[in-house]
Parts: sequence; C-alpha cells; structure tokens
Amino acid sequence: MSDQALASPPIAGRSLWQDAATRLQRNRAAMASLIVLGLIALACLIGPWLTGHAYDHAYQDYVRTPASFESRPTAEAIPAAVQRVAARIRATPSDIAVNGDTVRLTLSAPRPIDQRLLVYFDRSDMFGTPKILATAEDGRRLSLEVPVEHLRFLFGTDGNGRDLLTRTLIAGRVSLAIGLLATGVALVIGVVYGAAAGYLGGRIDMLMMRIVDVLYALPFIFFVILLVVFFGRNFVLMFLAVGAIEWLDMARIVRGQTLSIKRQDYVLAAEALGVPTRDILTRHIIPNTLGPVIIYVTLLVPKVILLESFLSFLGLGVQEPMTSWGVLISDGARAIEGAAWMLAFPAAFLVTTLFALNFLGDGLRDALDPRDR
Amino acid sequence: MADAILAVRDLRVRFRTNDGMVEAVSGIDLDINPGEFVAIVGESGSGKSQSVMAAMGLLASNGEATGSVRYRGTELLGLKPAALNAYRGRKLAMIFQEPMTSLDPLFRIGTQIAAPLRRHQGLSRQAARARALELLKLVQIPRPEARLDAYPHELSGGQRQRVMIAMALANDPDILIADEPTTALDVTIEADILNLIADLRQRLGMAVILISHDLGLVRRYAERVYVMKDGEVVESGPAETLFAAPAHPYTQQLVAAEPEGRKPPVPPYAPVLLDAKNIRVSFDLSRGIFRREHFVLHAVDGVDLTLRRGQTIGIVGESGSGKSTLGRALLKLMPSTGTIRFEDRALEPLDRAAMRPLRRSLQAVFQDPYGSLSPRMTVGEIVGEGLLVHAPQLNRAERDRRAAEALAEVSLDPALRNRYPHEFSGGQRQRIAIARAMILNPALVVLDEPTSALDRTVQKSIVALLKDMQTRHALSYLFISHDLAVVRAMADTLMVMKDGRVIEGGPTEAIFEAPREAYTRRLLAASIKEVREPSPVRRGLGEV
Repeated sequence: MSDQALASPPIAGRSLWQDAATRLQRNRAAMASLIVLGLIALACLIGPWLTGHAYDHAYQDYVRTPASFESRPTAEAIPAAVQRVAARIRATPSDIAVNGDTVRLTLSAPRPIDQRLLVYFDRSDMFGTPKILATAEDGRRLSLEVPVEHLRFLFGTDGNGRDLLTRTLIAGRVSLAIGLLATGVALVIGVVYGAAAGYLGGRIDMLMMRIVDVLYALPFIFFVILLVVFFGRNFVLMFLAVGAIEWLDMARIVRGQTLSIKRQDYVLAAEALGVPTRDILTRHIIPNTLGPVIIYVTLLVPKVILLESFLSFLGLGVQEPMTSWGVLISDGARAIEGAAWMLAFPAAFLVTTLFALNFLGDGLRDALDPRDR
Repeated sequence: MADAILAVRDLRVRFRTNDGMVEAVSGIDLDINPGEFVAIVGESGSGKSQSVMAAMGLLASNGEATGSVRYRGTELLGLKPAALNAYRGRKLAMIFQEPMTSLDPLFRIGTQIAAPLRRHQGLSRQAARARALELLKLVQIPRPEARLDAYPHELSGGQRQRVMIAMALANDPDILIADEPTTALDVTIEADILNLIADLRQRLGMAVILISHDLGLVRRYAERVYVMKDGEVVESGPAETLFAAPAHPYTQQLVAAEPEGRKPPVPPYAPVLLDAKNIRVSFDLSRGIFRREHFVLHAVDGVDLTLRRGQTIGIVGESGSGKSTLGRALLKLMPSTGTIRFEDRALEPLDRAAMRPLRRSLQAVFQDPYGSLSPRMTVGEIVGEGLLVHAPQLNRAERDRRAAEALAEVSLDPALRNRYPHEFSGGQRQRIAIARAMILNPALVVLDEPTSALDRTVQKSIVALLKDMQTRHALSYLFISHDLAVVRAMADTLMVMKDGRVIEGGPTEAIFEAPREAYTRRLLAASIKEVREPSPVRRGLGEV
C-alpha cells in the first residue's frame, strides 16, 4: 500500500467502536435480542400503568384465577358469586338473569332485608352498587339490578388475588434495576481497581489482588446475612451486596487485560512522552480493556438477576408487596400443582431476558473480537 | 506450459468486509514446473500470500476464490475439504512465517511429527518415530535423537522452523510452499534455513514456491520470479534476466529500494548530548521460595555510549543482544545501573515526576507501527498527546493546529487527523509515530527498529524522512536495528552488540569496510544482499 493511498477529502474517522457496531448490526440473533430487551424494558417501565390493576391490590374474589383473555367474571360464574353475596346478606337469590353488564335478581328472606347490607355487593370485586327496582312483602323481597364489573387478568392472579401481569412487570423493574445497578457498581469498582493493580504492578499489585482473594474467600450468603443483620432489610443493600461481590471477577479480568496492554508499545510511548500515570490509565489502558469488559457485563447482568432471585427465594431480598422475578418464581414454584401460570409467566420473562442478554453478549464478543478483522 | 505440475489460471480472491467486497487477487496466472524454485515477490497487500492460500483452500471464512488451480490436471478450487486433504499436506506442503506459534506447545516434537505419519500413512508407533528421526536428520537439527523428546519451547526459532520443514516433508510433497519462512528469524539464521530448503529441493526433487518481500533472498535462491502488485502479476520471468533488466516500473522501483546515501560523521567538537557509562540492566530470574536458585540475567552488561549533537549511533545485533533494552534504559523507561548524563544533568537520581520535564527532549519511536499507536484514539489526539503533558497552557484548538502541522511535516495529509490508526497503512502509522515524537522538538530520539516491520520501498521513504528531520532540527538519533543496510544509510557511528555487550564500535564505513570481529563479519555477510549484483550462491550451490 503506498503512503499516498489515503489522501482524500477530510472525513471523520471510523473508530473501532463504530466498526463493532456495524458488525453487531449484521448479527441477527444479537439484534433480535436487543429489540426483545428493549421491549421488555419498555413494558416493565410503562406497562404497570396500562394494565388497569395496582400491583398490590388483592382481589379477594379472584384468588388464583387462571390466565385468560376472557373478561372476569364469566357468565357462568355470576350465579355462584351472587349466591355468595346473598348469603352474607342472609337472603336467598332467585330469578337470576344475566343481561349484558347487569344482573337482575330477586332477594327474599324470612325477615325484612336490611338494605344497608346491600353494600356487600359493592365490596365484592365483581359487582357495582346495586339499584333497588322494587320492594315487596314489607321488605322481605327485593328486586335488584346489579351492575357487573368486568376485569381482565391476562396472566391470571396469584394466591392473594393480585394481577400477575402487573406484578410481573413491576418485578421486571426491580430485577432489571438490580441487574443494571449492581453491574454498574461492579463495573466501576472492578475496572478502576483492576486497571490500577495491573498497571502499577509489583508489590502494589500483589497487595491489591490478595485483598481480592480474601474477599473471594468470604461466603456470599454469609456476607449478605451479615449486611441484613446490621442494616436491616433494605432495597439499596441488594445493589451494594451484589455489586460488592461481583466486582472481584471484573477486577481480575481487567487486571489480566491491563497486564497485556501494559506491554504494548503505545503505553511505552506514552511513558516516553511523560504522560502521568493517571492519564495513562484513563486514556490508554481503560479504553482498550473495554471490549472484554462489555462482553463480561452482558453476562454479568443475567448473573446478578439470578443472584437477586436466589436471595429473594431465600427471603433475603425484596419484601412484600414489592416483588421481583425471583420472588414470583419462588411463589409460582410452590403453587405449581394448582396454578402453573404463576410459575410460567414470570419464568418466561426471566428466561427471555437471560437468553437475550446471552445472545447479545455472544454477538458483542464476535463484534469486538479483533481477530475477526 | 503443459508439463506444469501446478497451473493457476485467472485466480481471483475476494473478501467480504464492512466496506463491501475487496478484491485481494485479481486474475493471476502461475505455472510451477516439477523441481523448480519459484518465488513470488511483492510488498504487503500485494496478494502474494492470499493467492497461495486460495490454492490450498486456506482462505479466511469471509474470502472466496474463483478461477482455476490445477495440480497435475486435477482442479483444486471448489474441492471439499476432505477431498482437498488428499493433496494438501501430502502433495502440496506449506510452511508459515511464524515458527513460534505453528507448533503446539503441549506436545513433544517427535509426537507432533509422528501424528500425521501415523494417520496418513498408517505407520506403527515405532515406524513413525523412526521416520520422524529420519526427517529431523534431513533438516539438519543438531542432536536429533534428543530433540524428538523435546518440547517446542526448548528449541530456538530457527530450529522450530526446521521442525516445521520436517513436518512438511513427511509425506514427500511435490511442491513445498514457503510463506515468508524467515521473516521472523535473525538474519544469520535466515541464510541457514534457505540454504536448507534449496538443498532439500535438490535432493528430493520437489518444487519450491517461496513467497517473500525480500528481493535479496529471492535473487539468491529462485530460478523464476513472479512480481505481484495490487493483486496482479506485473512481471515474471527467470530471476537472472528479471533482476538484471527489470521491465516493469514497479519492479524497477523494488530493485532500487535499497536505502541510499551515507551519513557524514559529526565534527569531534560537537557538544556531547548524552553520555552513558557502564549501563547495566539485569533481570532477576531467581526461582523458588526464598529465591534459592539464584540466577540473574544481564540483558545489558556494562555499556558505555557517547552521543554528540547531530550524531546518529547505529546499534546492531541479533534478537536477544540487548539493543532494545539499552535504548529503553537510556530513556529511563527501564530500571538500570550506571551513570547517564543528558546535557550536563545526571538522570539516574531523577524519579518519574522529576524526569517528566526532560521527556520533552528525549523521545522514542518504536518498531511495531501497529502496536505503538493507541487503537481507540484519533491520530490527532495521539500526535497532540505530548503537548497535553508538556504544554498544558495550550487550548484544544491550538493543540489541534500543532498536531496538523506535525502531520504535515511528516508528509501526511492533516485532514486525516480525525481518523483512527487502523485506517492507515504501516508506513503511514510509522509517520504518525514520528510526528508524535517530533511535535515536542526533542534533542534526542531513540529509534527502536522503526523500519523493520515495513516494506522496502516504504522503508526507504521513512529513512529519507528521518534523515530530513535530522538535518532540519539538528537531532541526534540512537538507531537500533538488525538491518545493516538501513543502518549503513542512517548512522555515522556503529555499535555491534552481542549478549548485552558492545563487541565492536566505530565509524560505520570503517566497520563495513573492515569488520574486526567474526560475529560482525557474519552479520554483514548475512544481511547485505545486493539485489543488483549477481550473487554466487544459487541453485546447486545451496548445499552447505
């Protein structure tokens, strides 16, 4: 190639990152994963406002309702529900006629019916305020028209009658937030620590890495229980605990990278220029370690989500009524015989997210691998 | 030619890249006759390796080849790997540039040679071992019996390349393809390896295809030469006539690419810039707990050096002679003992921070133009980085302007300063590295093999640039190289290093005229390959 070959009008350069981005765009699995992740994140962010249910509202009449597109209550379920409400009012229903969004019925009782008790219709999740059409036999017989309140539980409800769709999306917020934040904590500590240890080398490196080894030796669960004992159960603690454990791997990876980058001529050239250590680290070493680090991050996020699930499964994680995918799955696992949907939906979300992250990680590794060039 | 054993017709090789299809080889014809020594020469990027890789079915996964490659009438292109294996490795054997990575470090030499013998020829363990020994003897490895049980790391680079040749010969190939077989080796070993290949060709009657950028080598050994440029064969013919009267301008340019000119010595009254006494660099290789096995390697062992303003000292030696380490020690990039005075200041008591202001005057250019530029910074940032340290008062626009000036001074288009290093060729990158050193107006520049990784024609232009810079800025150079032809053009004073010591020193021309030490003579003999003068060793004379 001749030296003049590149003489051309001033064009902005194409950095290695841009190169990697084009390669990533060509990887269908990775791009699909990216889109799926985006959709899941979007759904978790705005979905809970659109489902029409609060994540912590328990519908007593809908405990463990199976997942379905149909609106509840179904026409067949209404007579039984009317029976239940009437029993509370101490009356016997008859002539139950479901008519679109209303139910007409007649209540009869041996004694006059206390009309204040009609509020039980209201309290039920299925009916609205009843209208008295006619009173007969001195109040021992009431003709009522009761509006039916239709609800939809696309993912069904849990053991307390809470809408599973809303809860799954809310749980997704928690899981993704922990995944991102704990990874962020691990990333910052790990990269700075690892790069410093690797670049400074010698005794400092020895000391810094022995500290890492000591922390490695600490059992994770023990560490978390200790934190919980001292600081109480706290959402922020989760980030800290998980981040504080996961940065160890990151530090080792970055240190290994740094050791090889340190021997590159461009670092030597920077030293020959007299560039201060801090600038060598931030300008030359850290940007060049980022390739493997990004790949590790995409694998760390699912790992952290699983860790959180594990902690929540043990009861050390987020607390009711707040929830996370781990909590939902643990609930679902207990109810698997009677209510398989309680396991299926949160698990599907978690698995999809983890798959997508892994595919994305693979795609990034291929895109950033310089040997491909 | 009807009797050619390998006939290549209209071979095209394309690669799918981010920028669309790139054609590496665009329609070449080659003919290899039985027992012939053919060379394909060209600079990097000329497609010489890729054309052979395509014939062997070894293209990278994003490459594709069209055309025809016939071995004794059988079409090789488009064969399935299984069918191709009947030819490659058996009839067409190949040795590569990098002997360090071509052998599996986990297996003994004997096992590695024997494995394909047992698989392809169905030999028993004993017979395969006997054949492996025979092959090692054939490639003239000293103490072959002991080497059978050695691991690759116990062998030197030259020996490993001999093992690679032995493995290539295992199935009695018709054609041996040698892709830059000596580029990674020292010059004195280079001659040994090529003599061996020439000798084996004679004895075994096989054809040899030598792929090389080194015209000196090609002229010495090849009978017929193909010259490639930008994926095309621009000239071919018998080596003798081709080199004596190159017809194509590109061939003429290649033949004339020896660095020219000599550097006049500086007057003895020129002020001393750098004075180093008794420089030692030692590595403590002691092992075991409490360092019981005490062993210290002296990479540089008591070297004295005086560099005057405007002078260029060439430091030559083979790999491992300590010449690069000496250069780094003088720049205080490496801990050393001894005294270093730079412009009447003693450097050895200065720590990192105290050294910093002086770094402005002491600059370096390194060998690998690919490794010495930070891949995630733009060229403008790289060149301007020194200003960030030594002229922090400058604002961004001013730094950018100076970087553009520095790039223009090394004949690079300043408009390219927002590009990244990987978008430049090797020669351009080396110019960037030079610009980075020169932007600070240094007094002394240590040039650590700045031209070794470059093609000859590019080398020539870099040498011209460096000499031009020297006269313009009254620079002093410490020029470290194993390439004596370049050193002769660059340096007025020569130091020959071996095992960390200077064994011979003095004015360059005097040493070239009358080398005192045997080692120097050997280095000179191996590295000065005059392309234009006929050479005595060729063909049958290759036997040693």
